[in-house]
Amino acid sequence: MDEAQEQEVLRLLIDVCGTDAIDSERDVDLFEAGLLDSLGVTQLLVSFEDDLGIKVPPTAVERDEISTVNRILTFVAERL
Amino acid sequence: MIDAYGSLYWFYVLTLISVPAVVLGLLEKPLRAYSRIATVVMVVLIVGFSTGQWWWLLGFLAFELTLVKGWLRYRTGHENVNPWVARVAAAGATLPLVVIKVGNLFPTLSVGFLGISYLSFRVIQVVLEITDGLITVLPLADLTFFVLFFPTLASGPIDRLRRFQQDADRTWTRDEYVYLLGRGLTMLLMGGVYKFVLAAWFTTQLDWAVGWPATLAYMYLYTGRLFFDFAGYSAMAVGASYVFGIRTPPNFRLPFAAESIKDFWTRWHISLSFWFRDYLYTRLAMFLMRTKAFKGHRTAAGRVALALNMGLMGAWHGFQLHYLLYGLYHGLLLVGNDVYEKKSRLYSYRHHLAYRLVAIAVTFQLVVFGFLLFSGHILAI
Repeated sequence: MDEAQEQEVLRLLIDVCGTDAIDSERDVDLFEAGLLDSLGVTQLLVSFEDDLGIKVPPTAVERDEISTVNRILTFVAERL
Repeated sequence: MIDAYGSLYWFYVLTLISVPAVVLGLLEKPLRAYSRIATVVMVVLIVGFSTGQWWWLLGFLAFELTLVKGWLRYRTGHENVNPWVARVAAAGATLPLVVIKVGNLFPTLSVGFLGISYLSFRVIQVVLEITDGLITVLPLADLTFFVLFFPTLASGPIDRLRRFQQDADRTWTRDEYVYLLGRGLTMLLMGGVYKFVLAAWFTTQLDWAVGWPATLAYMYLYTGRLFFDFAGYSAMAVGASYVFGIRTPPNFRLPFAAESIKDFWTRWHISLSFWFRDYLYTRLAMFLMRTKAFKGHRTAAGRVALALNMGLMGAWHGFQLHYLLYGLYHGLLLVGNDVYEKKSRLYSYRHHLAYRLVAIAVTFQLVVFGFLLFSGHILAI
């Protein structure tokens, strides 16, 4: 994943979570912090597919895989 | 026909049928074959030959198993499937449930059998995971065992096939099995106290009186009974599963300590709520987000999906008006919850103790009112 793609994922995340504080707190559990929920996950999956071309069936995503910013970046990098 | 987790006779039979499983487990032998035999025996005892339910169960199984195997064969033979074909397969798996729920509106018909809703959910889940390419191999015996696994036959919890199979195919070491057995027995005991002591007490206090003060009392007492009865049953079902080496997921996690309605649905009837989240809500929301009407309005699409999701969750309990109202009520609450979290500055205080205590109290009141709707009592006033 190159710099531009990483920025794109971060932009999507900030949009979904509604705060840019996540950029500096990349290991915070987003679900526990109340920043990410089912609606947010769905928005992310649609964005991944439409903006990054990563198609992931919703049932194939475990919450543990996408619970922090760093994990989401890994998740995306593995599928690009 | 015996009342699962409801009669002494059941516990007597459960103890007898568990003894070989415990012996096998302690000897580090596979539980796989014996669990299947025990499931067949127990399903026969639970459903009972003498009732019409037996034929409904067999018909249901024949239809669903054929559908799943047919769909698996088609799906593994096609790299890409038309989304409408996949939708027809999912609708087909849902059909028996809909037919029986409609039939239940006419009590004289006596259609269906105990556990139909829960069995349907297991099958639908398998169909959707086949669609997603997550299940590619599934022997008929494994599928049948998953759908009928007797400890959770009557009312869940609703396990997931891929998770269930990992446990079912595993041979536990003695230490692992001793842990499972200990945990299983503890859950059985705790569930028993919940159901036979606490729920029973609430039941003796319940009074179907009309008028507002009586209705208020009814609301809290009904909530108490509902929780201890269902959480008690669920704990016992999880406990019995552990004895057979299957770590069925829990259904309740201190639901009345929830700090929001959203939080409540991660603590109350968890296996149902997560089923709806993973197999209905997400798909529905993604579908709506891509429609023309919601282009550029993903949040709105997600909220509409949320309301529809909860409405259908209500309908799943039955097509009676009070269940539909209950689903709709929680759908609107969840949408309100989401708007609140995104718009209100109060939400930034959510980690403060005072905020949390007030949030727990408010959530509790909203929840008990929901159960009053659910009980049907409010419509009788």
